[in-house]
Amino acid sequence: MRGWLIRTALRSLGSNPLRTVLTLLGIVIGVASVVTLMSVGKATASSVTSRIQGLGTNLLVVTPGQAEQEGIGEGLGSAQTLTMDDATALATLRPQVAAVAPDVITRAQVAYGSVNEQVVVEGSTPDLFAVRNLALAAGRAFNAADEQARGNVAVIGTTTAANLFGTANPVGATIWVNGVPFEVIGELAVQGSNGLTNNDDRVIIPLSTLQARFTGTTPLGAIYVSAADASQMSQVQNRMEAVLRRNHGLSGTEPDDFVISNQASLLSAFQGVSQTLQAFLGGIAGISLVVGGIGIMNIMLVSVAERTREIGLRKALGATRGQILSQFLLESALVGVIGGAVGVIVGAVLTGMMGRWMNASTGLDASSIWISILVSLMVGVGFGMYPSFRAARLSPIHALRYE
Amino acid sequence: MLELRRVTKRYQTGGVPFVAVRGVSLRIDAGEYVAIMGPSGSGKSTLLHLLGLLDVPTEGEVWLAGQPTRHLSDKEFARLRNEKIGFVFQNFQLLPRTAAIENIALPLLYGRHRKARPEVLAARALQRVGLDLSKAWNWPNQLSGGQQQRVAIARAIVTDPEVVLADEPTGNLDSRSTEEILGLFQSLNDQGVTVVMVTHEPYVAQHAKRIVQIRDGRVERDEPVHERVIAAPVSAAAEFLAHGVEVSG
Repeated sequence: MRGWLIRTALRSLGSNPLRTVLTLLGIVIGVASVVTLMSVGKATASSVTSRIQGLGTNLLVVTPGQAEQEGIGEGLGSAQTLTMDDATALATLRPQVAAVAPDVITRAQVAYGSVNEQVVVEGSTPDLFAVRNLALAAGRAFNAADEQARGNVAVIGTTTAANLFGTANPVGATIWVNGVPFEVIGELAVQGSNGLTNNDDRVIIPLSTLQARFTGTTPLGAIYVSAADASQMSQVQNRMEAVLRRNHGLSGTEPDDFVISNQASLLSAFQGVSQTLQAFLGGIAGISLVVGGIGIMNIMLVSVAERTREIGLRKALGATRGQILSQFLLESALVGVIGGAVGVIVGAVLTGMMGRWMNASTGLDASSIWISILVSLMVGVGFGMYPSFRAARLSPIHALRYE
Repeated sequence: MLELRRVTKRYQTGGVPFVAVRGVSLRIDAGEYVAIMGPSGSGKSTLLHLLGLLDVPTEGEVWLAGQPTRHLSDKEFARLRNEKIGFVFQNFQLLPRTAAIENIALPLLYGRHRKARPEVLAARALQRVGLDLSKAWNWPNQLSGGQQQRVAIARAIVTDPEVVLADEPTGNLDSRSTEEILGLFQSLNDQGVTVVMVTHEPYVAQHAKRIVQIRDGRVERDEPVHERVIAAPVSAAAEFLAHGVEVSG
C-alpha cells in the first residue's frame, strides 16, 4: 500500500521534468562539492600524515629558535645556536638516545656530463639514514670511515638521479658538486614530497666533507635524534632540553633558544590545520546545499499552488491532513535523496579526477556516502516542511473552487 | 440518514459578510433521490458542501447516520468523507496523467477498505458504471466527457458509500451524455444508493424523486416529483454499440 505514495510522488515529479531536473541540480551541485572537497581534503591529510609518520615514531628534531633583533622576532630557525658541541652533548644521553645526526643544508651546483643543476646538498653523519628512515634503492649509505676520511662520496635522491642520469644507473659514477668530484655510492628510495619541498631532489654527503669543502664550520640547521624507546619520548625530550640549556648557558628564566619537536607534535599541529581547513571547505560547500534546499522549497510552494484543486479533491475523497502532508513531504524528500545520490556519483567522479591530477590516492568511504544522502534527505524534508504544511492546511472547498 | 438541523453558514468574503445558508433544516433518508434546485448564488452548493462534510456550519448541526458531527476531528471528518460519502463534481475532477482505474481507486488509498484489493474493487466499480474494462488504463484526456463523468461516479461509489453527492454532474455534458449520466444515477438509486444532486436545470431535476427548491439560503419548496422522467438504462453493451468504433488503441 506504500508503493502508491511513491508512485504518486514520482508521477508528480515526472509531470514537469525540466523543473524537477533544475531543482535536483541544486542538491546535486551541493552534495557533489561537499563530497569532493571532503574526500580530497581527507586524502591530502592522510598522505601528509603518513609521511610524518614515516619519519619514525621515535624521531625528535632540534631546530634553532627565533633570533631577536631589537626585540623583534625573526622567525623560527633564524637563530644560529646549534653547534656540533650540542650534537656531541646530546649523544651523551645514550642509551636513552639511540642515534644523533647533526644536519646542515646548503644549495650547490651539481653537474654530470652536460647536465648542471641547483640541488639541495645535505651534510650529515651516517646515523642520518637510520634516524630518518632513509631507505636506499641502490648502492650503500656512507659510513663512519667515509665521515672520518671526509670522503667525496654522495647518496642522491631519485629525482636528482633521474635529472642527472636519466635511466642509467648512477651508482659508481662521478658527479661534480661546485666543481668538486664526488662518487655516487647510493641512490635513495622514493621519499615523496611533503607538499612544499621535494625530498627526492637532494644530494647527501658526509657533514665533515661538507664543512671542509664548502661551508666551513657553520651552525647546524637541525639535529635529528632518535629515542631508544618510543614510549619514553617526553622524558628524553626533557633531558635533551636540559642538556641543551646547560650547553647554551641559559639561566633559569631565559627562554629556550631552540625548539625540540617530535612526530606527535608535528602531527597534531598539522592535523589542527587540516581539520580547520576541511571544516572551512565543508562549510562553503554546505552553503550551496542550503541554496539547493531553498530551491526545493521554492518549487514545492509553486507545486502546492498549482495543485490546489488536486489537494481539495484528495481531501474530499477522504485524505487526512497527515496524508496530504506526507504526500508532499515524500516528494521533496525524494528530490533530496535522488539529488543526493546523483551528487555522490558526480562527487565520486570528480574526486577520482582530482586524485589523478594531484597524484594522490583519493576515494569515498561508505560513511561519507551515507552521510551525504542522509543530509540531502534532511534538506529535502526540512525545506519541504513548510510547503507541505501549507498543502495540508488547505480547506477542501476553497481548494476545489480554486481556479 | 443525513440531516441538517437549523443550519446557518456565514462567509466573510473580502470583509463583506455574506449569509449563504439561513437556518435550513433538511432530512434525507436512505434510498432517496433528491435534487436540490435554485438559481446561482442561492446557496445550493454550500448546502451540498455542508451535507458532504466539506464545510462546517456557523450555526446548527449536521447529523450523519444518527450521529452529530459538530465536534469531530479533522481525521474523523476525513474518514466519514471517505467511507460514507461519494462526491461527483461538475468538472469531473479527475487526476490528469492518471489511468481511469487509478482515479477510481483513489479513495481506497485513503481509508481502510480490506474487503478486497483496490484494483479489484476499482474494476468492479468501473463495470458498475457501464464502462468497458478496455478503458481502465486510459488517461482522462483519452475519454469523452460522459466517460470521464462515469469514471468520477465510479470513484464516488468505489467505497460503497451511503450517499452520493453530485454538484451539477451534467453541467459540462452534452444532452446525450447527460441522459447517460442521469440513467446511471437512477440505476444506482435503484440499487439502493442514496443520491443528492445539485442542479439548476428543471429537466435534470425531474429525474429525481424529490426536489428541494432553494432561494436566498432558505428552503422555498420541498416536494416529491409527480411526473418523474425515467432515463434510458445504460448497459455496457449499449455503451459498446454507441462508442465501439471510437475505441482508441
